[in-house]
Parts: sequence; C-alpha cells; structure tokens
Amino acid sequence: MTDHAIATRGLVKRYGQQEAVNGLSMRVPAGAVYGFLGRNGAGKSTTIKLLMGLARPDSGSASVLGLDCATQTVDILRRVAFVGENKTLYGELTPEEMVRFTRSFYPRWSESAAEACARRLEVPMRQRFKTLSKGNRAKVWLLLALGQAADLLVLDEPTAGLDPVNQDTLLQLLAEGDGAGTSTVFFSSHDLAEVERICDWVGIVDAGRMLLEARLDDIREHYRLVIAEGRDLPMERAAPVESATRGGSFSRYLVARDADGFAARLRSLGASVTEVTPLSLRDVFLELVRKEDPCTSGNAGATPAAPSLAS
Amino acid sequence: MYLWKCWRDTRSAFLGFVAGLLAVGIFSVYVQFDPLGWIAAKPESSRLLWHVVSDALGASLRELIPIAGFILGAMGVGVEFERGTADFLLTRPRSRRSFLWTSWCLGAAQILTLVLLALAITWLTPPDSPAARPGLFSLVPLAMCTVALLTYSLTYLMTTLARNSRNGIGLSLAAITGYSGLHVWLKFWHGIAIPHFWELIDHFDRVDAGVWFGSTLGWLAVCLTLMGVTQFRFERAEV
Repeated sequence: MTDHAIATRGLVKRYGQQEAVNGLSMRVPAGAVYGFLGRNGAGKSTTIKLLMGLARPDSGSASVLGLDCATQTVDILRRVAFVGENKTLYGELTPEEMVRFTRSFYPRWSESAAEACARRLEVPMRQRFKTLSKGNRAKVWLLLALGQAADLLVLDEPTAGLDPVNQDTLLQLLAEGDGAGTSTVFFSSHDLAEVERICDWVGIVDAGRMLLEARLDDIREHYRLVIAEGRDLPMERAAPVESATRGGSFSRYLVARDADGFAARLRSLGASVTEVTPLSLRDVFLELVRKEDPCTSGNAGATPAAPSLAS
Repeated sequence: MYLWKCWRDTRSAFLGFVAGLLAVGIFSVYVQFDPLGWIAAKPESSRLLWHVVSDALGASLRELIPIAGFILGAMGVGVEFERGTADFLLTRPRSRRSFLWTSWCLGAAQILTLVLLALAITWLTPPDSPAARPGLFSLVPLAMCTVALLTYSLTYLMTTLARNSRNGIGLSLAAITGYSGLHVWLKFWHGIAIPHFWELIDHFDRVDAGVWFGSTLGWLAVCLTLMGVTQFRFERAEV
C-alpha cells in the first residue's frame, strides 16, 4: 500500500500552444478527502483526465494507488470511481439499466451502497436518462461511482447542477464514507464552502501549476496574512512565504507558519508591520490566485537584491 | 453487459433492416405464388409490372446490404465521442480494444444475419428459374458479407476519426466515391485494372471461382486492416 493515493511529478499537458497543465506536482495522501481547487481553466479537469487515462501527458509522470497512469490504466480503473465534468450518459437507458451495465465491470460492486445513494439522493431509477434534469443526471453519475466500492473516488465538480439539498446530501455521503469503503476522495470544485466542510487536504492550482498543497487544519491554525509597509522588502516565495504581493508601498505576504517570527524579521528590515491576520480558505485562495498585481506568487526574485526571509 | 449495450444502441437500425428485408420477401413471395389470385385477376400489363417490380427488388437485395454497413458502422464506438459518453465508457476497467472489437463483432454478426436473410429471400423468389438460385453455401454469401463488412469497417473507421456519425458516413462515401473514380479513370484512360470490391457481387458469375475467392479474401484482409487502423486511433484517442 502506497502512502499516496495520487502522486504526480512535473506533469505537463499542452493543447497547441496552450499549456493546460504546466509542471504540476501533487501528492494526495491515502485516506484523505482532498479538495482540488482552482479558477476556471486552471487545469483541474485536464489533470483529472490525465489521471484517469483520458488524456496523455506531454511530459512528467503520474501514479494512482501506486500504479503508473501511462501503462497501468485498466488496473487503475478497476480501483477508482470517477465522476466526469460532463455529466452525460446513454440517453435511452434508465438509471436502473445504467446500474446493471456499470456493475458488470466491478466485481466489488456494492448493491447496498448504490441503493442507499439512490434513496438518499432520490434518483428517479426508471426514467430514461435523456429525460432527466441536469441535477438528476449528476446524481446518476454519483450513484454509479459510489456503488463501485472503489479505493479512490475521483470527482470532477460533483455538485455542479445539484440543488442545495442534494449538494448537502452528497457532501454528507462523502463525509460519512458511504462510498462503500472508499478510503480516499479527490474532488475538484469551485465551491470553497463545500471544500471547507468535508476536506482535510486542499490543493490550489492555477495556470496548470500547484500553488499550494496543505492540510486544511494547518491553513486554519497557522496560515496568516502579513501586511507590511516599507521599501525594498523581499518578495521571494520561499518557506514560510506562500505568496508575496506588492501594491504601492505595502507588501502582502501569505505565511504558512510562524507568522509572528516572520513579522519580527520584517521589522528588523525596517518595515512597519500593519497587520497579521488569520485566514479562511477563501482568503488563502484569493491571495494565491488573484492576478491584479504583477508581483504575484511564484514571481520569485521580483526584487533579487532584497534580503531573504526564508527560514 | 457491454455487448447488451451495443445491442441496445443498434437494435433499432438492425430491426429496421430486418423488417425491410421481410417486407420485400413477403411481397416477392406473394407476387411469385399469388395465393389469393389477386395478381392473376389483373390485366396482362399490370401483372407484368408486378413481376418486374418484384424481380427488381429481389435482385437488388445484395446491393442493398452494404447500406446496412454504412448505418451500423456509424454506430460504433466512435459515436461515444459525439454523444459525450466517451469519458464514462473509457473509464470503465476494460481495454479500449475490447470495447472496439466487441462492438464491431456485434455489427458483423448483424450484417451476417442480414446477408443470410437476403439470400433466403432471393432463394425463395428466383427471378427466372430455380437454376438462377444462388447456393446458400456458395461464395455468394461470403462475397455479400465481405462487401457489407467493407462499408461497415470503413464507416467505423471514419466515424472514429471524425468522432461523429454523420461525418463518418460522409467521409466513408467520399472515400468509396474517390476510389471508384480512380478505378474508372485508371481502367478507361490508362487500361490499368485495380480491384474494386463491388465486382465481388456484381460480376461474380463472370469470374473464375478461384480468382473470386482470392479476391474475397483480399478484401477481407482490407477490412481487418481498416479495423487495425481504427484500433490504433481509438487506443490513442483523448477525451
């Protein structure tokens, strides 16, 4: 058993000139509920396609449950349940027939988990798929994934199209582990509230690169926004600084740990620290991905002459 | 269960062809034997017209079977991309080649069934005399199957390449038209004869049986090559 349910290193996927995934490295711990966050076009769905064998990387490597994505796709698919971004299934089949079709692929199929999911999500089992609403279509995908009793659940925006009641039920199902023994859940989402509710790990991706990968508890307990005023302050992204942004004479730092120590070091450089604030996941997300200022995260060396604050 | 899903996808088209063949068969048998004496009661010119129509329909059956190849070929795995179901199907734990060949084999079996049905109808309703009946175990069914499998495999490939059934049929028709044009151009302008699969069913009575059998095997090899290319493309297709 590997320590990581998913591990990628330097994953790159190009579509023409555009790099959808740009050297993405990620580690999803086994047993975690991992929220994969990013803006539209950040590379979330492409990454998931690479993991599921629906696309091939241009370079880099990826493994799922210790199996190589490039060469052991079928072995991976035996142990992974997937809900795609595009919630389309066979229009002429009913959810009941879809269940019969899908379970034939999975010897470990859990009838009880599928039935529980169908009941709790109120899936209309005898209606043709083409006549179902967008929300009900998403529910059928979820039902088919949760019935697989998979070791890993990969969900690409699973709650998209669901009403608040069904969103809530789905999150409960995932949190309770009603996926019939599913041990790891990896899901992409735009909804930070739902991620905060059930995830214990988050990865924030932008422009195809991983900006932050951390335990949610660590973010809540240790991550701080430090705002300082001063000239020639360092703008490097090196631990504990996750991102550094400058606007006028103010510099904003997203600090992963020991914010007070970091603030003290800034003061020793002559800065006036105006704020050390705890952050929610939403704040961290916005600090990392917003693009108004040219000196954003990853822009290491914006002021190469400035002294380093890395600890 | 995937076979069942393929059957669900293609059964309407297949049963439509079966119904069409049966309708032609029933019509031809009725005209041939006239059990209620309706046709015999008609004037001579009208009787002749009924027989001409019946004979024409019976004789054109073997040319009509390849059409089934176009339709069934456009319902292969390539349409999963068009319907947006490829990400579902291709994340099931089976190799892509198994999906491809299962679906292809079902279509091939359906084509074989249609060929045998068409042959049975032709055999029951010979246009001139019982001597004109094609033997049920002769090379005729093999040639009919081969031609239908060619249109089927070609359309299957084109649908997979185009990821769209209509475009697949269009490209397949364009390829056949282009090849036929080349065949005619080489034959009449340069005196070069290149094989054309239509000769298998059009001129089967004028060609030496050995040559004909060899030609049939050759075209079957072309079918399998087309499917080899399809497999190559499908296994590398990204969603």
